[in-house]
Amino acid sequence: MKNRLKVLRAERNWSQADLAVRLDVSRQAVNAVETGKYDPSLPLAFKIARLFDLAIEEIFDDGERRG
Amino acid sequence: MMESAVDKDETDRGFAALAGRIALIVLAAIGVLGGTGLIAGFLTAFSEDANGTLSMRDIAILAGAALFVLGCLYGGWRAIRSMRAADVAAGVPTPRENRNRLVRVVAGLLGAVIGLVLVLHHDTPASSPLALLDGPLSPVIAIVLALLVGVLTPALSLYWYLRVVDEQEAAAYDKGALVAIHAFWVGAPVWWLLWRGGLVAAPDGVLIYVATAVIATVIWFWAKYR
Repeated sequence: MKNRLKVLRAERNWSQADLAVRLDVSRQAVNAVETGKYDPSLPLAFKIARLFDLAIEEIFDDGERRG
Repeated sequence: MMESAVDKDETDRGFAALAGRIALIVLAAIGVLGGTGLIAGFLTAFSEDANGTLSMRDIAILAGAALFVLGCLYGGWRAIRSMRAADVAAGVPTPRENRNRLVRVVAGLLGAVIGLVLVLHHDTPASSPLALLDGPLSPVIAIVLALLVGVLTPALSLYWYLRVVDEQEAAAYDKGALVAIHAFWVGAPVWWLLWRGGLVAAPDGVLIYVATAVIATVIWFWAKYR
């Protein structure tokens, strides 16, 4: 799944470790989500959305369009 | 142009390099256990032989085994140092990663203790690589090891899975467990059927157990670090 995590992180000048500490995950997990190798669970997606003060769909894009 | 902290991929240590270092550590551990077992077996046989004297050939074998063990220890230490250096270069680990590392160290020490006790107490000639796992044990040693493997290991494993790892690693672990259990469910009966048909040797429980564990570990590693 595509996402804007790296861009949002860059806007705040956070490293992967900075974001990982805020989300209470490993740097590996942040990297896996950023590169699309791992799709986060709904609780983690909400946590990410709250951290950036955005809606989930403003961060993650599943490629589906609304009908 | 300098790479900023934001652009830097802090976990991109190279999958192949990391896998190579871990393989080296595993091989070194196996080498240490095998070499120690050889030395222990050799000395046990020597002590049981009342008229025994160490010949030059015996001393050469012992020295060779000791050098081999030292070489394995050195190789393993270098690989661990290299991993630590790569980790430091990748940035500061998060608190969760530190807890994960602590549990892995404890698990490694537990495994080393179990392995060493097995090596030092088996008295079967090393006729096969798995003879280590088949030698007779004294009841006391067997009970102590069974408690370590049956109580302490699952407690540590559950703590690691439920309290320490994040969801990405838990998903990798689940994937490894799923593939391994299916390999077991399919592989064991296939072997059993082929054995009944007289086509292969009798199923080996230890080999099936080791293969299942190796499959789970390899898939977990790939899913976590790819």
